[in-house]
Amino acid sequence: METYAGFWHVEWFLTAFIILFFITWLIKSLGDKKYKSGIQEDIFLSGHQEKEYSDYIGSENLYWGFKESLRRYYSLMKKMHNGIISEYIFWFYISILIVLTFITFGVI
Amino acid sequence: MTGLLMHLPAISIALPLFSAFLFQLLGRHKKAKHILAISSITVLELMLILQLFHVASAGNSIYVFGSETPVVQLPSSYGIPIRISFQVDMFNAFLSVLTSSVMLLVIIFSLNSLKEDVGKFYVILMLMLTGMLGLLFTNDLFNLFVFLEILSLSTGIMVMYKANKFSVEAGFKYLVISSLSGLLFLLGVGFIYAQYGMLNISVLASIISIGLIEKIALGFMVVSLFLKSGIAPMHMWLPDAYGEAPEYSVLGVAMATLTCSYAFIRLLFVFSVGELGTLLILGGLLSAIIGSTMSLIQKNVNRLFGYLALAEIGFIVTAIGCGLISTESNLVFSTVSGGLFHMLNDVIDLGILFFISGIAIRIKNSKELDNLSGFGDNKILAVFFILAMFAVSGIPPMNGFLSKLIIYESTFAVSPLIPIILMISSIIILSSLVKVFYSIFNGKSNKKVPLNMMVVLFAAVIAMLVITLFPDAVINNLIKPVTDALITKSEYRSIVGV
Repeated sequence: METYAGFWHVEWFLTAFIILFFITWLIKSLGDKKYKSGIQEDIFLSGHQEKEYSDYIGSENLYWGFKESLRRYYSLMKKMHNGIISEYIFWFYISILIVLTFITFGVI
Repeated sequence: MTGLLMHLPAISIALPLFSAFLFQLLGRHKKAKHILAISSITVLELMLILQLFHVASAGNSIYVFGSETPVVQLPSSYGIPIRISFQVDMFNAFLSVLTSSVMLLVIIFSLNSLKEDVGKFYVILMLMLTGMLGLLFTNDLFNLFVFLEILSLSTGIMVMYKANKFSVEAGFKYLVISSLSGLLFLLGVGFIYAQYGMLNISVLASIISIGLIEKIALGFMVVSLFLKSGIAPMHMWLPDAYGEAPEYSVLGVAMATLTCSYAFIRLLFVFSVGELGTLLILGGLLSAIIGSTMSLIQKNVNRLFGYLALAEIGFIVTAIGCGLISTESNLVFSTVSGGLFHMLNDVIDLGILFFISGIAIRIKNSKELDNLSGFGDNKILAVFFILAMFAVSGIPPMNGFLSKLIIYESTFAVSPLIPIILMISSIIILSSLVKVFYSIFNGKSNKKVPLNMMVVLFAAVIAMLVITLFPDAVINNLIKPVTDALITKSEYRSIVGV
């Protein structure tokens, strides 16, 4: 497939993928054959064995650090998406105003 | 056969409209309603495919309502065409096939989810389809407004379909905002009519000279259509509507939004208003940023996908906007074809995600991410989700990556900042989807997925894989002719013969 500045061949990608898959399988097959999954995969919190990972960490806890560092942005965004219809209409008017200003002053 | 081909644009609007009325005559015969819905959309789909092939081989076709033969354009005593006409080219023919395919999949997917009011659901769906196809084919500005309103009204009612407190609120918000934007669109149409005394798009395109009034009129129309397409900063209604629409028809609502974006793309290209391309780039980039970042903090899976759809529309609109402001023909072609290719990929890839979330919502009876777990034992569903997740996030070798690659490369030539923003947005989209995957495929519950839902999912995944493995065939046979039809305005303008 030709793109604006280059090309893409899915066959090359798949070939590379198959080769890498084979190498990974080879490395895995060199490992300990007696290994059985068990306690190594279990979860311990303060030395206590816990049941399910998802019981403690729900999806809303994911990316906590990212959300925390963008706290100001998210609090502004939540204010904007507050579900109040008159505020939604406000943004509509703001957009019309911006477009009219741009057009009148010849920006676009 | 020639007669049928000649009348296809009108029949394709009449068929869903007529079916919508027929549902009321079937009383409580639920099975008959299912059969009528599937058969009428299948016939429509076949007709639209036939039309696509016809347009691909014979060029644009026009249908003039009320004339002796549909192809006569000018009544002998008039200098301008006063009749309403439809015009079909590769761009709208392609979108019409995409639209009817989505609606067919939505109907099959929803078969065993509909309990009461089956007829009401199908009536709304058929009216949505009428609005979408009319909007795609019309060659008249006022007619465009009428079909936009049919589409908005039926979409609003679809959002309210479940008739609970939240869905009615979301639908009401959509209807109020949509009516307001409809009036703004009408104001723009009024400006154009006052200046030129006509509303036929092809004729207007041949004689229009872009001055301040025309820019203001088109600016009003574009802002109005931005709102109906849910483009930032007028997107606030979109997550509310997606979040409360029935989970089995939310893809239909998404398709309605995408169809509205057809209208401003068509108008800006046919009237050659490259200057307004800047608006598209700004709106597109803002949508990509807001859509991706806001999706990360959502707890309702449909709201989350609503924001993802917003981000993905942002990619399309940015690419099209870059095509509008570019002057180099290669760059125009590349950006616009990237945008249109992404439109196709998006519908399929996001469609798969909507279907999987629809399955999870139906089985778990909740839209909250933390309540959707228990599908870890369904390996097929998990693999399909991962493939679609990669595709939407633009990870090789999936189809979404191909269109994003074209967009990144071509928009880089306009400004290096554009692909950087879009790539960051893609990374955040992947993070959001990992979150959804984590929620749905955690734990095991041995729940069986209904057969009709799996059939729809398989069909969508096959389409995704075909594009992934044979991109050249899709681009050369479909995307290139569609892009040509959009950016080469001469045929669209000259067909009316003024």
